Amino acid sequence: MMSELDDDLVARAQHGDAAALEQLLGAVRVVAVRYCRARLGRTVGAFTTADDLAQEICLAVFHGLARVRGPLITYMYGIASHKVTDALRTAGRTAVLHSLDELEGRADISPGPEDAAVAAELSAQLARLLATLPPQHREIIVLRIMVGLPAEQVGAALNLSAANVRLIQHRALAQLRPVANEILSEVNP
Amino acid sequence: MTAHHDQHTEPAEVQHDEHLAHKLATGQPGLPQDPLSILLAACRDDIRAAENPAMPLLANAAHVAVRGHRRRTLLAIAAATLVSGGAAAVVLARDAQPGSPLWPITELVYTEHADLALIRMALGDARAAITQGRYTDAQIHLDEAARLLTRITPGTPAQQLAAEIGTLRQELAAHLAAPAQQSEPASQTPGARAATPASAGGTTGAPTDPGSPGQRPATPTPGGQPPVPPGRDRPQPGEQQRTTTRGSSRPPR
Repeated sequence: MMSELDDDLVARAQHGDAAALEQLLGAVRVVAVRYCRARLGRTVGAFTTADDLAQEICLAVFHGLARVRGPLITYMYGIASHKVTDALRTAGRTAVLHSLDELEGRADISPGPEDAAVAAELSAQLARLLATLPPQHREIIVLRIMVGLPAEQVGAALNLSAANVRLIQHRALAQLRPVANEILSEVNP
Repeated sequence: MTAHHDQHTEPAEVQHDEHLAHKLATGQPGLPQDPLSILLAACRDDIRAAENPAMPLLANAAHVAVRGHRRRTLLAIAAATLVSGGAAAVVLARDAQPGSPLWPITELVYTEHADLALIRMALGDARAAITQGRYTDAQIHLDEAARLLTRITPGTPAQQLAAEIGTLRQELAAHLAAPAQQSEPASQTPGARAATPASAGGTTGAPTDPGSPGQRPATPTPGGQPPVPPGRDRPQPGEQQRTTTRGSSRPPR
């Protein structure tokens, strides 16, 4: 799926190949959903807010597709990271109102209490892990492991060489190991 | 390039972590059972759960459409797309079908085209349901098609679709009437049928068994609606859900 963001597919989509465009937007959507879910986590037990933002990212990529000249992942990541940053900033300002809105409007689509608790716990643990990392390290872990992009595409997104991505990834994982040990020892004392 | 190669880092360690990252990224088996691998794999699986490449896009469009500010944002993007270099791509979206990644664009930009596509799909589903003897499903699909048809501007396509709905309603009515007549046991008297408890209430018949002996004959309903056999006059919850979740996500105009 991730290799479908390649230049050839983008070129065919830009020249009006409907099948290529569908295939490309399907791949874009997977990347957008995973990225937004990893960065935003769950809201009231569901990924709905993250998925809505992913939808906006897909439409924005669709909107600008004709103007893309370099790797699509670079263009897409620029949009996605800005939208997620904006969403986090807005969520910080309107956390209480947002929660009320979610509770009133979406209670019916939330998972059951036990599932919601487990899912919320996982989201919280990921957020805790990622919060210990500098921004660039965090983005590499998110794009490489959570989204599933190869190191080359992560590098294209972040303007780094694949070798540097692997090096920073190594440092980030080294930094995360003691935090993970701590989290699991709290869960299973 | 903002990072530099660290001379003090052993390449083997970097490669070891790259192998780990690759397994985590691709979901390959054989992960080490250390806390970090376990935690990252669990978070990865949580993020990728219920991840359908096509349909959630449509489902999400439903959420987006009912919230005013988001809908306005999407409409603005779609409108901007029309006047920008993406116009050729928007033209492609005109022929997208439900489930396609382009479908939300179709719904936002080509509103009536989207409704026509949904009606045709509902009619196709109704036809298939009649063929397979799922008459309640067929009824639901036809009702959905008729509901969507009220949003279409009067004209040739609307007339053709209305005629097709009428034809399928008649076909459905014929199917519903036929099994009830055929199921009349030749040796059974009217009095004997009336004495059967199940035939009196008609609520114990299986929903998928319109021609069961002992059920009262289906009767036509006012307004040309197809007759509904006993025990099948209400859609099953699952059937109704299937129809409404695939229908247009826009609020009524």
